[in-house]
Amino acid sequence: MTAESGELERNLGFLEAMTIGGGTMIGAGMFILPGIAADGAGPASSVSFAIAGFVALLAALSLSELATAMPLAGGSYHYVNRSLGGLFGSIVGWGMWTGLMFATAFYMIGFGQYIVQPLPFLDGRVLVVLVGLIGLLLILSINYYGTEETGKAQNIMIGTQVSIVLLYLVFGLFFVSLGNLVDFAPRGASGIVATTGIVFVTFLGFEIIATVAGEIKKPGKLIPLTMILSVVLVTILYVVLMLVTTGVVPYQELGGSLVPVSDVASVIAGPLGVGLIVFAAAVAAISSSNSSTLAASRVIYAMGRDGLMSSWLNETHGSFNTPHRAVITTGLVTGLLISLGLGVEAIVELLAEVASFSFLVSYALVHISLVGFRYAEPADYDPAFRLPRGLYPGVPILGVVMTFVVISQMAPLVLIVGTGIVGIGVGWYFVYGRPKGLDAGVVERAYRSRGQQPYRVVVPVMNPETQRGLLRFAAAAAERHAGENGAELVVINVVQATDADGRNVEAERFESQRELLSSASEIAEGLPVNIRTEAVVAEEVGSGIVTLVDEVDADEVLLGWTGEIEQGTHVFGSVIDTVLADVDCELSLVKVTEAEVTTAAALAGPGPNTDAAVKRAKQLADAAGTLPVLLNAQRPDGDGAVPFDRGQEAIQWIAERAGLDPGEYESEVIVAEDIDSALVTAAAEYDIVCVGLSAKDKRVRQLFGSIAERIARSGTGNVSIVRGPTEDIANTD
Amino acid sequence: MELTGKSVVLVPVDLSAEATLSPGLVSLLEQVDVVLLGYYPTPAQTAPSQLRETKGEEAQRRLSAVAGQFGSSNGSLVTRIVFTHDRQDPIDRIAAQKSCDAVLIPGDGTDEPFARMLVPLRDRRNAERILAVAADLLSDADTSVTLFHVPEAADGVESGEALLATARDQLIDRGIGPSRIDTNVAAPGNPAAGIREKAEGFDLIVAGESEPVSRTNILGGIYRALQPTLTIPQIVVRRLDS
Repeated sequence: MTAESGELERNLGFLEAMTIGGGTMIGAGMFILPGIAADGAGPASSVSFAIAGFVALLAALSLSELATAMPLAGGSYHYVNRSLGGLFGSIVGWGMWTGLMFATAFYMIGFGQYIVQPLPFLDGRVLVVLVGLIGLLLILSINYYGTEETGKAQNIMIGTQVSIVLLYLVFGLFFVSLGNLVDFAPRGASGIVATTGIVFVTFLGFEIIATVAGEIKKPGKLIPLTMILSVVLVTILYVVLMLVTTGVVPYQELGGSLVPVSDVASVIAGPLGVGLIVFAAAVAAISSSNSSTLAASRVIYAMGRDGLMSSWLNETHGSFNTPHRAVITTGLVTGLLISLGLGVEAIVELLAEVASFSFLVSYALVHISLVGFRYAEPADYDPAFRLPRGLYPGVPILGVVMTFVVISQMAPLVLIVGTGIVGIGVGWYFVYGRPKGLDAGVVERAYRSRGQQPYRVVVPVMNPETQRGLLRFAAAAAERHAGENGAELVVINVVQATDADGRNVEAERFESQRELLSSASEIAEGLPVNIRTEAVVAEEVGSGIVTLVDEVDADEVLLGWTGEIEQGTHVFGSVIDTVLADVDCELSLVKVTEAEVTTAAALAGPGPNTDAAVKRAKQLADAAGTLPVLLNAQRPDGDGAVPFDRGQEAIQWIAERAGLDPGEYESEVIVAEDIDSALVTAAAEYDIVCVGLSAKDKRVRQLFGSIAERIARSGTGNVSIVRGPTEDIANTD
Repeated sequence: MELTGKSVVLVPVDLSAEATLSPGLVSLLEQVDVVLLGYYPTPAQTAPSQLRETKGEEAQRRLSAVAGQFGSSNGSLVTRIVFTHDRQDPIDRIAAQKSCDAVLIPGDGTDEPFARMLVPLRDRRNAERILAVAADLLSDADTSVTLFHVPEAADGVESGEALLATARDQLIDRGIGPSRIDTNVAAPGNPAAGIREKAEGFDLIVAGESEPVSRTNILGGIYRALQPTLTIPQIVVRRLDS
């Protein structure tokens, strides 16, 4: 079973993620920006691209950790919203949405410039805008009607673009005259930084990898790899491109051109070169704006999910199944922005720079969010990729500083428009978001609840052989619950007093108790929770555990279980039976065989504790970034639909009771004559199966325990019998 | 996932439209364990979870309707629903996860009972598994079966006949009456074309997944070539090592 098999909706691999990210970055910017960049910084604009790439790399590093911790649609917006709360979420959501609209408009104007360039007999500006709008219309129809998996088409487009660009670079090298590069930085350092602000727009692509993080396979490995690799490769490509371009045609000439790459290609290869470049530029503009439009709908969807955007906007089309309203709204605003080109001379720069501004601000907040998550360490924060010690907190700090350096050199108009967009985000939060009472960010909650009691899990250990697995499992359970107050494992060992007075225990047994607990401490050293050990001497092991659980006010008790039930007077054994009877808090029996859990299932049958089992499966699956599977088995009767429906209904009912939304679980109904063995075989496919402990009646408990026992015996995975807090049972009975 | 020791067949159903399986196909599938995989194609523009919110119930209802067709099943029935950008992906994944023996490629079924099944065999390699699936499907019907081989060259005719004779014995061992089994070695030629031609007049093909196929594609080589031109349902038996 591979790591992603529990998650059914992941189908983007390495190549797809690279083309999604790299495609947008190599896209349109490559053809439009060199002229503006050369104008702003001369040949040193290659340094601008290197700086922009470095800023993007810092963001990619922080985003990688966050994206592997929360691989959900929405990207940056989602992380900032969760970490810093709705106000900053709203700022980033609006910033990204508008940023993507500005970027799309920028690509489309560039598209118009390249298409119109070979037609000198018409008025340039009007035609450029017109062609841009037609291009936009094309993009909108594609996204309105919906496309199937475009992976292959995308790969072909990117491949074509990259080949043409590589040809351009290789042949261009022969035409470089060093004389053009002598005046390397005519506008000095501030010119270089100012140009960085404009060209940063080209690095939006890697962010798009994060916005589709929920659909990427092996997210822990592929998300950081593709984000970092695509940024690095694209940066190198741009640096070389700028050196070649300014080396072939003097920057003074390039600066005035709307179609810089085309001009250079005409020097290198004449009309054929121009033709190829125009073709590549058109393809690039289409693919870049397509990705941006796609990403924009994901941001709007994510905002809607958090109550920061109207759900009306997120409804999917009845027959095309696309978020058509989001697409149209994005398109209308983008159309307006393109039309601005009629009146504004330097429209391309303005669009690019505002988009850069929005994303720079968003990334600064992403860096801060990362620090926030590390500070709060919420229960479910378990990134598969963590910034190593050498890079944290250096990367986020440098990221924020660099953002301000770049923004400081931006044009006043850009600062006004950009701040206005931030203002929209702030206003939107107070008018639309806040009245709904949205969740506070994890940072705020962590700050508020300092000093309260941590989530306590009591784990009795007896056997040095099995305690390692049990402790690791318990640590994971505690960590998921850690919330803002952290989590604590209380590892106890109870030595039974042999004499009636309870004092005269042999020294030898104390010694082994000491060893057991100290080895528990050692095991726990590498685990992400605090640990505390308690040595207890009691008349009876069971009552000793009960006393301690009360004493420390435990939230949960976790007992190791052999996977067997006894047939005599005790159900699970005398110790477990005593604890079950006398402890009120949540309790689970676990047979641990493997510490790694990626797929989790719960038996969604009848019983008062089924919802506790479902919740447990959900936590376990969440931690692994998968969806829990709710299993229900029904006997066939005459009509096939009836048992199937009954199973679905039972699953829906129990999911609702456990507070799971329809999208948060998978359901599996098994129709078979022998329900027990069907469940046992189905259960074998998961790393852990959670079973609710059945009613108080011992006979029934034994019966139900028997399914858990059979699963435990036949499977290699973990089995957990869960019982919710007993007050809950009283309420729901 | 041998719930009943029978073959496990993955039956993919597109839930974006009302779906039914042809009754003849269902009555054969009732003899095996079925994993009913409902998939809802999701456009690239939409997050799968976004569509699940609006179309989840519709998908559930449609899959229920198909599940309901398996009224008197002798095997077990497991159902899953997936919202996906790529319809091949969940089919491959669930087939592997559930250790399915075969995958159904639904065709245009008729309302008539399935009378004739075609089982093309290429060589001995996967024959036993193919025959096991075929025998399970045939276990409670009077559908007849034709074992078929297309030799690629003239010198392959004899070994083809031997292959089919062994296969016939294996089916008989599995309890299929000799009168229901027919064997046929075609004139040497292109196997794909030969099978295509032969398929006329049959209701169902049970065939092996062809030559080494990539992990992501259940249908490799020759049967992928067959697929667009064949309208009858096919049950493709997976290779175990893939």
